[in-house]
Amino acid sequence: MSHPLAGSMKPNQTPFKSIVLGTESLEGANEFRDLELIEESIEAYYKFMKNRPLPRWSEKSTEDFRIIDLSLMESVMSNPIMNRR
Amino acid sequence: MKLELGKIYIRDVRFADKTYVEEGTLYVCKEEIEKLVLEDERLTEARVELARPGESVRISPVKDVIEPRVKVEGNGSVFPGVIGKVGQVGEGRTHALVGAAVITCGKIVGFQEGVIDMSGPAAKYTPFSQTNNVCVVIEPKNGLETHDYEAAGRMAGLKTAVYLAEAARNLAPDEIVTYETKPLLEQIAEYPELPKIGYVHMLQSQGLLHDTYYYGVDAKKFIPTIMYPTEIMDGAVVSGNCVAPCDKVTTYHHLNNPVIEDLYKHHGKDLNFIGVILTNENVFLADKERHSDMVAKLAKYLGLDGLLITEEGYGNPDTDLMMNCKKVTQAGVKVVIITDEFPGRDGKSYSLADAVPEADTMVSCGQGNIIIHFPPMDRLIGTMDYVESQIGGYAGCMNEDGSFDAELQIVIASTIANGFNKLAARTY
Repeated sequence: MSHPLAGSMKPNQTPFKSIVLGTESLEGANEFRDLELIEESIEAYYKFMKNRPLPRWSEKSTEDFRIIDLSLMESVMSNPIMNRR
Repeated sequence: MKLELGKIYIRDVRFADKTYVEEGTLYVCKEEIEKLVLEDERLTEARVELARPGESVRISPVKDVIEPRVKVEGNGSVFPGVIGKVGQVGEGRTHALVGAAVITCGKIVGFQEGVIDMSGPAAKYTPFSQTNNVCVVIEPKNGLETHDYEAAGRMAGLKTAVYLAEAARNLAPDEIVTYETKPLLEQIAEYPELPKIGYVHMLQSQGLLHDTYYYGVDAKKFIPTIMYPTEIMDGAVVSGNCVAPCDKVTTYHHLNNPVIEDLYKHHGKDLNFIGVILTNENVFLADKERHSDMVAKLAKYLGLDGLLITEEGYGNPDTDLMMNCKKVTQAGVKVVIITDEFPGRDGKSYSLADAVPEADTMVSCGQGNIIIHFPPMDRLIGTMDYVESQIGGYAGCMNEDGSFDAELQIVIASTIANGFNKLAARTY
């Protein structure tokens, strides 16, 4: 439902990355598209981690990463199409 | 719309009792700026410092960079919907203090980066080592929530830019450049033989510290729309983005969008610049599907032969970039992508997070993974905490003398994906 690489913080920078998964694509995308997206994102993750591993962040920075991760998810969860019944 | 941009060239900046421009020098009254910025109760401190090209000065962390502009004739005022009222802009005459910039510094989040070196080897990677900078360093009140701090920082910069630009209102510009785009049918009729080219400008819109505003509307809440290229010159697009400095499009870059600038240079000569399609880079996949459909629809509806497309950010926006490219190409409109890359230190990994077969024509703006050396500077504007918190970790290693080595991606706008900088890639 949401892009696995959301946010400009690179995969080896932020300790948190929330992803929203569903059982059905809301835009009728085929399963293969989503599979590709996940695979490419995993590849990107390894590429960055190979350069440099995740730093030992301070409590303040970790909290900031949580706040941003939440904000990125809020923009997905607040979408009316996600909440229809 | 027809806009005359009156450029007043600034070659130096100094403090003085009041703010005015004389013989190419911008004189700045820092007390008035400090007072103006502190009208916002969310901030407890505002310190103004100056940084000139060639000085041994490092500025960090950078929130935004803004060029002072003021509307002297025509409807509306600059930064509509954010500072100015929402009235439409893009026509008449606007004055700009070219060579001057307002830089806001404030650590809104603990891991924030964004460095500008005014001299030395890292200086050439950012355009702001060549501008005369009025830096506003801000401190928030205790416990200020991050969303509020970002908004306060954003307003502080824009307010300061508007205040300084007033000094340009009654001056005779050193140069006036005229930009004109006519309504669609008239524009097509003006150069019927030339290919009709458009520009798709993708705006960062993922969430906190990843937002952009169009006439004050949060870009993640809008759907693709058409903009006259001159509207952006009056600040219709304002940056709220503050993460990943290397490909951050500052408000300064929106005002001086290089793709629009170059398209106008070619307009009427080898192409007919029709206009701009604005779109966003939402995290929600259904939004991406909907908006890329609309971008392709607008491109075809406008009768374009080809278009240029730029994005802001990495990862998530690459998917939008590819979806736009694919659908626009399938609609019969040719696409050229302009973007930066992250191929890893050895340059051998995939540069973008996504790809489609239709993305076969691309201009690179360089890559952010290479390591460069940052020598010690005599003066620091802002704070160096961020580098210390990443010692042995993300950015690099700080030496005792204050120098450090780090990836190019911490330099503001070093690999900006709209082509403003001077990096590129070549195949051999």
